[in-house]
Amino acid sequence: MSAMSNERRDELLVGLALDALDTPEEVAEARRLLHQDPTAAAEVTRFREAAAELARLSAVPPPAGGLDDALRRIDALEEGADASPGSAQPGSSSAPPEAGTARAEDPTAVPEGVLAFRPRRRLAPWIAAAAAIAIAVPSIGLAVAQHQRAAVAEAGTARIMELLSQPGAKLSSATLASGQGSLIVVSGGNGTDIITRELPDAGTDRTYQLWTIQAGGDPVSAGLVGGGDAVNSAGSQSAGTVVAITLEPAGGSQQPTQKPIAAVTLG
Amino acid sequence: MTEHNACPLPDPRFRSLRATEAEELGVLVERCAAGDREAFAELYKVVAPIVHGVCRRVMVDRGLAEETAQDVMVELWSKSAGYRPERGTVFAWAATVAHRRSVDRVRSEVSRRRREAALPEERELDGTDEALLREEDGRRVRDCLETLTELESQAVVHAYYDGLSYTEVATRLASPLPTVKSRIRSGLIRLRGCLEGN
Repeated sequence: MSAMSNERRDELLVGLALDALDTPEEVAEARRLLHQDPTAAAEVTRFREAAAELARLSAVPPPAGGLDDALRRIDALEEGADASPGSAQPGSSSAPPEAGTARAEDPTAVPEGVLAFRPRRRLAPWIAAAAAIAIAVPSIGLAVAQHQRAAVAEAGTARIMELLSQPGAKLSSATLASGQGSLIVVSGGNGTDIITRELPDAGTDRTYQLWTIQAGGDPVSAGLVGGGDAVNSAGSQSAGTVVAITLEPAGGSQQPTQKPIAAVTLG
Repeated sequence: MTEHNACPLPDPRFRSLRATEAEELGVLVERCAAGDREAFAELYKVVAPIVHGVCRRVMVDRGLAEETAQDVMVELWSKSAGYRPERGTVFAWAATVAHRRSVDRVRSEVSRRRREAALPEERELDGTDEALLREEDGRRVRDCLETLTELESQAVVHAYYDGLSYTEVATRLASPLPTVKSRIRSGLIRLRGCLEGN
């Protein structure tokens, strides 16, 4: 483990608490620090309490009818959650949404490729999460079951499970254009995990590269991946963000040089 | 001011006020997890003003800010089962979600260059800016802000209230990035220490 200066550590933790980090890579680096180092997590908690005190200074009365509006949204949410996992919500368009285009007019419609999963409160998070993955991508369901049996606490799997066990977690997946390999994105309030499964070997002079593309923005690299299976973390992404994978020259590129071989749009 | 003012004395009344609030909000969130809408209404009364305040400050656009703030309140409901007191107070959770969502939305809706250039009037932290609901509530943090140097508090305020990244703050203040990072770091560390009563 490389030594990180105290300065750099503080910079990451303060930056995380103030949402002031410049890139998704730094956010991912800061989150990794939290996962690896419990004292770092405690520091960020304390920084966030301080930031919340600052927030108190800007308090304003909410708009009239705000509570009623919030309760109405909650009712709509609860109705949507009664749909069983695996069923797409009615109203989604038949063509996959493209990056940057307007979302479906119905705000409760789930875009194609996104499985909105809200585990019921009584369901054990682990079982619910495993079920969601199995339904969305059968091959990964098998891998999860094996991990369960072996009870191996692999860092990547633990993190995916953690994200998926939160109510409101979303799973989006796409098969690669070639038909072999999958791109799966697990997004929740606390971050985004990009899983690549069974990718064919890229060859010695090429590499796969992951990108996040916010609506109206430029692609931002989310890391390089090789063939086989991998998990990369990105920060929490806003709705409408596209996660894509391209094949690039070895070493990666500043911007994608090819059309994506798979992409998902986050709901 | 380039020197640091002495920290205000630890305030037991402030700490007990915060502790009581944390406990009460914790109970409300538990009840929300069980589906209790009355509890949500209570939570809304306490927390929505801060959530709306943060969104408004960061996003500027009032319509967008209200929309985002309401999304945040609903997220507090839907994620209530996942709330863990050891990860922080409910209040900090709400403020964190509000701030992060606002920053995410603003950064994706408006390009960085536009935001750096077209700055709204320098925001000052004075009490007349918006009707401060609870004048008393902000007293401790205001006192603690006084212990920062002017440059430190300026940098922290720009980062937090304007929802700017390190680089964006450096551009806005026309200061070198390492200097800005250093000020924000030392500023928040000092602020935190003062609020914790050290």
